[in-house]
Formats: sequence, C-alpha cells, structure tokens
Amino acid sequence: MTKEPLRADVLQGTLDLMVLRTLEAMGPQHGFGLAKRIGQISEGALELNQGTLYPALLRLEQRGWIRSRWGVSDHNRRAKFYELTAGGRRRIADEQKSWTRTVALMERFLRPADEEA
Amino acid sequence: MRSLLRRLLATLRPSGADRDLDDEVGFHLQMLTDEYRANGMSEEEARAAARRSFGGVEQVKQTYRERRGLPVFQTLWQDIRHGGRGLRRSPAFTAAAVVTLTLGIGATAAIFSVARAVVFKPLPYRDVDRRVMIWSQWRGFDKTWVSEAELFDYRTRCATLAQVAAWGTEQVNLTGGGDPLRIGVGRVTANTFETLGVRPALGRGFTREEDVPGRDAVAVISHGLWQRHFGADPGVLGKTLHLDGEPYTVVGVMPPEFQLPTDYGEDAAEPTELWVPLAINMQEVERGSHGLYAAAVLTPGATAEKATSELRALAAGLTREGLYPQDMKFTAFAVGLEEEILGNVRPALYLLLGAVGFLLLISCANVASLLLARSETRQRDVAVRAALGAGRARLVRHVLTESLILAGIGSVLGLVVALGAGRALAALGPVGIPRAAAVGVDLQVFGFTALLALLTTGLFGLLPALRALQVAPVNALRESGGRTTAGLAGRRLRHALVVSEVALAVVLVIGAGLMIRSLESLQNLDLGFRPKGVLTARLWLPQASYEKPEQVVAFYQQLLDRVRALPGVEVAGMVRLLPLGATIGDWGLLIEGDPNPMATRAKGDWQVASDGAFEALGERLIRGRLLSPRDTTDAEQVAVINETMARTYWPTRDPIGQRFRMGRGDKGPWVTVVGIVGDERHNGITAVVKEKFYRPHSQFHKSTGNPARGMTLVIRTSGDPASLAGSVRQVVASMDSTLPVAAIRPMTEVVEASMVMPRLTGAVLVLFALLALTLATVGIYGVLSYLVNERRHEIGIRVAVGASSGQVLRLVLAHSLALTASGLAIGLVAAASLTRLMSRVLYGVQPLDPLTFLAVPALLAAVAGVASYLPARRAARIDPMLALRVD
Repeated sequence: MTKEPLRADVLQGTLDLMVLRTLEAMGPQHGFGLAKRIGQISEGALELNQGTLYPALLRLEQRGWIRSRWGVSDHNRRAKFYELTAGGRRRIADEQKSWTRTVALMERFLRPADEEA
Repeated sequence: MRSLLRRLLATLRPSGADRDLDDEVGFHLQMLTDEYRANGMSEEEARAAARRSFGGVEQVKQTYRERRGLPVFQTLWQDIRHGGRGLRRSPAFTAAAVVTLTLGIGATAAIFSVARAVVFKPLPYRDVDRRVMIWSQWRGFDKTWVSEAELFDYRTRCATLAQVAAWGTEQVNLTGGGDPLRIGVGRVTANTFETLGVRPALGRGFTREEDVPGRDAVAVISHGLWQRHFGADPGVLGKTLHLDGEPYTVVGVMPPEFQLPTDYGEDAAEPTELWVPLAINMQEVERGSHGLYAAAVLTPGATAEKATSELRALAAGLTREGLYPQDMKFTAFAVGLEEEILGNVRPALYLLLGAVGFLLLISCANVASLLLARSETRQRDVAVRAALGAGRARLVRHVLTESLILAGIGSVLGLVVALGAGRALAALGPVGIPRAAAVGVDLQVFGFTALLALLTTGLFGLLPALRALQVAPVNALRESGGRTTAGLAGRRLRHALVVSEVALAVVLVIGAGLMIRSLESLQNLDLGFRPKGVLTARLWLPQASYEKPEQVVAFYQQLLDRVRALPGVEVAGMVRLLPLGATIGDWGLLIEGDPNPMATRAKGDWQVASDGAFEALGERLIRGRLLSPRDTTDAEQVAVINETMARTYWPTRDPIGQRFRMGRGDKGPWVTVVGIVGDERHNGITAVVKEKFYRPHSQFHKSTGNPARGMTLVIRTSGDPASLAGSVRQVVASMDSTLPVAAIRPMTEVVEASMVMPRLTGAVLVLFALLALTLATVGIYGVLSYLVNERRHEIGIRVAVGASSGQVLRLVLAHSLALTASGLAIGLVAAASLTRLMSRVLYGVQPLDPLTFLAVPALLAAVAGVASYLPARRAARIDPMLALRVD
C-alpha cells in the first residue's frame, strides 16, 4: 500500500453517497457485493472493514433512501438485497451537487498554497 | 418520523431482527471465505481472512443494534435484561423478595377486590344519598317495622320526605311452567320502584290503580327469575303465573342488579325475586300491627338527620293524640339507604383494608432491607460502574428497574392470589355480606394492583437506590471486601426498617388478638339451643290446596310422623321461624289478672312449635313441661314461654298455670303457661333476647283464626344431618309433589351464617397477623445475620482479647432486644390509638383489652428472641483466627 488509506469512519457522509451511487450503478445488490464493488472502485484507497457497511445500510434504510428484501444470490444462497428508492435517487442528486460545491470550495482554498510551494 | 417509528418497532421485537442480522453477516462471511478459498487458501485460513476483512463481528452487530432501536428504550430494555440476569443469579434473594411481595400485594389486592364489590361499587339505586329507610322504635325494640297507618302519616305529615314507599316480604310457592319454586316475594306499594330510583328493564311497574285489593293480580319479576324460569323470553309480559295457587299477570321485569334494600340484609338468605302490589285495604288501615319496611325520598335540602328529628316529633305528637300508649315510648327514625345496607360491613372492611395496608408496609420494609443488604454487597460493583462514568440517573434507574421487576412479578402473582380469594369467597356465598358473589378481579382491581406495583417499588426500591448513589467511588473501591464499617447511614436505615416492621406487626397482631378474643366471646355465647346434628327444611302450604286450618294441622302432623320414622332420626319437630334463621316479630298480649299497667301493653315474640321441636333444637327446660302430642287442637290451650317473658310479666308469681291472651281485645281463648324454657338467641347472635312464647301448631289457629302455613322442620339425627336431606324431600314429595322444600340445611350452617362477618374478619386478620409475624421474624433474622457478618472482625477481636462466647451471645441478643423494644413501644402506642376504631366489630371485649396488650408484646419479644438466636449463636462461634484473617 503506497497511499495512506482513508479511514471509513472519517467519511461517514461519503460512505453513504458511495453506497447510494454504487446501488444506482449496479441495481439491487447484497451487502457483500456492495462491499466488493466499493473496494474495487476505491482501488485499495479505502480501508473499509466490510462489516462497517451494515450499520450504514441500516441508517440509509431507516431514512427511506434504500429498501431491502430477502432474495437468492448467484450462488443460490439466501441473501438480503438492497435497492435504491425514489427518495434515494433524489438524495444522490442533492448529494452530488453539494459534493461538487464542497470540492470546488476546497480547491479554491488549497490551490494558492500549492503554487507558493 | 418514519425512522423513529421503525426504530420503535425494532425495539419491540428485537429477536427476529437479530436473527436477520446474523443471517446477513453469516452470508457475507461465507462469500468472503469462498472467495479466499478460491484463491487457494485452506478452509481455516480462508475463514480467518474473511473475519479480518469483515472486521469485529460482534462490534458491528452491537453498533447495528444500537442504531436499530431507540436509545432510551434500548437502555431500559438493557436494564430490564440486566436486572433479570442479576435476579436470576441470586435465586434465594429473588425468591424471598418475590414471595414477600406476592403476599403483601396479593393480600392487598384481594381485600381491595372484596371492598370494591361490596362497598365501593355503587348500589343499584339512583341518587342513593337522597334516599332513606324509615324504622320504628319502642320499648324493647331498637329497630323494627312500621305499620300501615304510619306509612300514611309519614306520607302526609313529613316535610322532609317527598315520597314514602313500603313493602312486606314473604315466601310463596310459584307454580306454572317448570318445577314448583319457593321464592321470596315482596308486596310493595305502587311507588316503591320510583322511591328507590329504579325503572323496570322491561315492561312497567305498578300503577296506583293496581295497588288496591281486588285489582292487584299483577307481578313484576326479577331479571334472574326471568332468565331462570322464563328462559329470558321477551314475550313474558302478559303471561300468567301462579303464586300459592293464585293467578298473577306479569307486567314488568326489573334490571339485573335490582334488589330491595332488605334483600341485602334481613332477607339476604332468600331475597325477593318477584313483586306484587301491597294493596292496603283503605277501609281497615292497621296502626297496631307493625309489619312493613319503609323507604323514602328526601326533599331537597333535607338530610337523614333532619328527617329523623321530624319523625321523632311526629311520633311524639301521635302518642299525645293517644294513638300509642305513653309507656310504649313509640318513635321513628330515618337511616340513609347506603348506611342501612353497607353500614354493617363497612367497619369490618375498612378495618381489613387498614390491616392489609400494614401488612403491605411490612412486606415493603422487608424487601427494602433485603435490597439494602444486597446493594451493600454490590457496592464495589456500583462504584466501579460510577467510576467508569455511568451517570447517577442511570445508576438509580438500574437499581429501580430491579425493584420494578420484583414488584411486577409480585403483582402478577398477587393478582392470582386475589382471584383465588375472590373465588373462594364467592363459593362460600356468605349471606351476611352483601354482594359477596360479585367479588372478582375487574379492570379497577387490575389497575389498583398495577398502581400497587409502582407504589411498592417506590416504597422499597427508592431507599436502596438512593443509598447506591451515596457511594463515593473512591471510598468504596478503597474499602477492601467491606471489612470496615459499611457506613453508619446504611446501618441506621436497616435498623429503622426492623423497628418499623416490629411496630407494624405489633399493631396487626393486637388487632388480630382482639378479634380472637371477640370471637371467643361469641363462641362462648349461650345460644339457648344446640345446633349440632340438626337438619332444617322449610315448607309452605298454599291456601288454594290447604284451605282449612284442620288440613294444615293434619298435613304437618302426618309429615312429622313420617319424618320421625326415617332411619337415623332421633327426634323431630317444627317451628314457625328458625332461631338465627329468620327475624321474629311480636304479638300484642293481654296478661290475665295483672294490675301492672305495663303488662296490659305486653307483647311477645310469637313462635309456633310442635312437640319435639324443643328436644330437636336442644333447648333447655327450666320448669314445667314442654309441648306434647296431647296438646291437640281441642285440648286446653297452652303455651311455653321463655325466661325473659316469665321475668317481665310474672316477676313475683310463678308463671306456670298463669294465663294470657293473644291480641288485646276480648277475642280468642285464654292460653295457659305450662312451661318455661331458657332464653335463646333469635334475631341475631348478639341481639337482645325479648319476651317470647311458643304456641302448639295444632292450637295456634284457635287464637288467630289462621293456621301457621309456613313451618321449618327441625330434625335431630344421630349421624350427619345433611345425609338425611334426600329422604326428607322424598317424604314431602310422597305427600304432595307440588310442594317445594326450601332451605334444607344443617342448623350449624344457619348459625355460621349469622357469624360470617366476625368470623371472616377474624380469620383474615389472624392470617394477616401470622404473615406479619413471619415477615417480621425474617426481617429481624436477616438484619441480625447481616450485622453479625459485618461485625465478625470486631467480634473476632473481642473473642481474641478474651470475651467468652456467652458474652458475645449476649452482645448480639442485646442489640436485637434494643431494636425489638423500640418497635414494641412504638407499636403499642399506635395500637392503643388505632384499636378504638375497631369497637364496632368487637363483641364482649374492650379495644384496650389488657390481656391482648400484654400477651402480644410478649409473643413478639419471644419471636424476636428466636429470630435473633441463630445469628447470635453464629457470632458466639466465630473463630477469632478466621475472622481476623479475612481478606
């Protein structure tokens, strides 16, 4: 590992957005699939204890952004599948906007310092 | 909001959700393991790697659970589970606390359920506090019936009374339909239902036009009779039924709970179930013969007291008018309807409520001291939690939750106790307690018990909880093993608990002692007859089929002959009214040749009896002879009298051979006194014995024109009287199959029924006192054991420096004695002021009965001695080496 890994709990809000986005991209998915996918996308930059995902999923479900039901996985095992709700889709749009704003804002602060160095 | 709801729901059913989470995590781990294995790891390595990737499984689950439920409920649930675990871990403590609380709460709930059904539940009359009963009173008669003329006087001449109703009660044979039935009938004035504030549930009451002789063949029936006898047929209105052979038309059905006020008291054994118009003959309104009950509605602003003063003034006026003899001292008074019906049972029930309150306090004190002892052994535990940052509120809540669990279990079990007690009481069906059959656990009792659970939790749980707070973490942690004194405050608290337990127990045991003494007086009371081994049964010959007096006399003669022939019958006879079974009234008498003006106003309770009746009832012959088979209708007219009558009317002469006449006119034959029997209790076990005479059944109609149609058989048997009931029924049926036989019961049952309230009160109080004694004993034992344990170090030092085991024994006993003595002193003072409230339920014993007040403290001191002996002996056997080495 060359890069300093990000700790998941620092990024609670971001984890939510990651889960929502992944679900949007992949469609209904179980917790294991989600964890794997998020790991792949972050390319090891996110050191995620995969179990941390579950409280996050519960929180998202309680807020009504995702819903879950029991189904059967590709390997013919009973698994709980999560999917995005309409509220969840709206949430992604909102989050994306605010994220873009935050990134733009942060960049403005960080750029001059880089130039001076 | 939705999130809140989901979390609340999740809190309520956590087990299913837990399984879901387990499954989900399990699936995840399985998938990871599979993957690692596919990468070439061994099964074991793969599983370990999966766990590493997943992170701490239990931590995740815990976070998940916390997120899932609501924190408040979560911690509450945690407290409950934690408390439950703690209680399960110390089964001895839990069992002791639960049993103690079950007794306390159960007894309280039971007494409350009785009080609720009997006293607190409203009577079935509208505005009951506006209604009164009216009674007459004169020399020798404290509370008796009113006459027809008086009813009209009260109606027309009393400003405090808006409406006055009157009724008489009797038993009649109801025929038509199913089996012939012997039922209580009330002959009521047309305004009776209105005066009591009750309307028929079906049909109508009586009109004034029907309350007249000749037009009065209409009847209103009770809800129970309607259901039992008429199959709850709504078409019953207009149907005809026969009372003693006479046809009556049903015009109304009363609501289920309706009873005449007298059905709660005088007629409770055989309450009226059917009502017909009284139909007073206005041409011959009776003033001298008193046989009616009367009730009235007060005018606005009037009270029972005001009505009484008006009635007294009116009675005095009537006497001045010459309607009553001066020396009769005739007067009348009003009693509030509620007081009339419940006045007799209220004092006893209030007494029991008070007593059970004491018992509840004792059990709370006991559980509190158990909890205190327990909390002190757990001080370190509490201190550690406090040091680790548990909030004060959380600590208190933790201790309180444990108390609440205990109280909850105690209440549930207590309700079961109350339910059982109610069933038992209803099964007993005590005649002396109105509405006893209705005792049960209803919503109010349930709510009351829930309230008790909270209240007791507060009482016994709060102190230990607050004590837990006072524990300064540093000190508690520094104290090793509690060898130093566990805190003066804690010890004081426990001492206070023991002292109050003893004090409360003293009051309860003294109360029970007084009741026992009172029951003893009742038991030793000379009834004037021997009820054991006697069977009784009542019959009534209707006029329709036994018209002539001779027929009645012949029937009963034959019946007695057949009954006497039954195997097992020693002697048999019959009386008109059974002593303690039915109220006996009086008849005006004329004493022959007595210049004493008092004698001309003579009255006597009129009993009608057959030969054999005295022998069967076991009455005592003082002088002369008893009635015999030779006292036939046409033989010399004779009577047997009681001692009181002999003393009152022939104070200076021998009554045997003297004569009197029934009625004050010159009608009727002279009756010769042939014997004197001992006084017997008739109208109540403690009621004053009045003058009484016994006329032979065969001769009675010679004096009055009418035979005594209703008679009660009294049969003395060699074996169990109840076993004869079947053959007596058969004998009656063989003579007339339409005749119902009522109230077949042993005479002992009749006597028991008249003593039911004092007996029950006594039994319950004694039970409470025993429980209180046991609880106090356990309390003293527990506290002393704790004390000895706590001071074993100190005692060890004492023994090491030379104290003998006797000295140690005395040291501990002295400590216990000091506590007991304080409790006794406080208890005696409290008892002395409280027993005065018992005077209404005591008979033949003073509220400050010296014997009781001496015996009870001695008993308690002895019990305390026994309770402290074991701990004291343990202290005396302390091995100084072991005690000093502790730690």
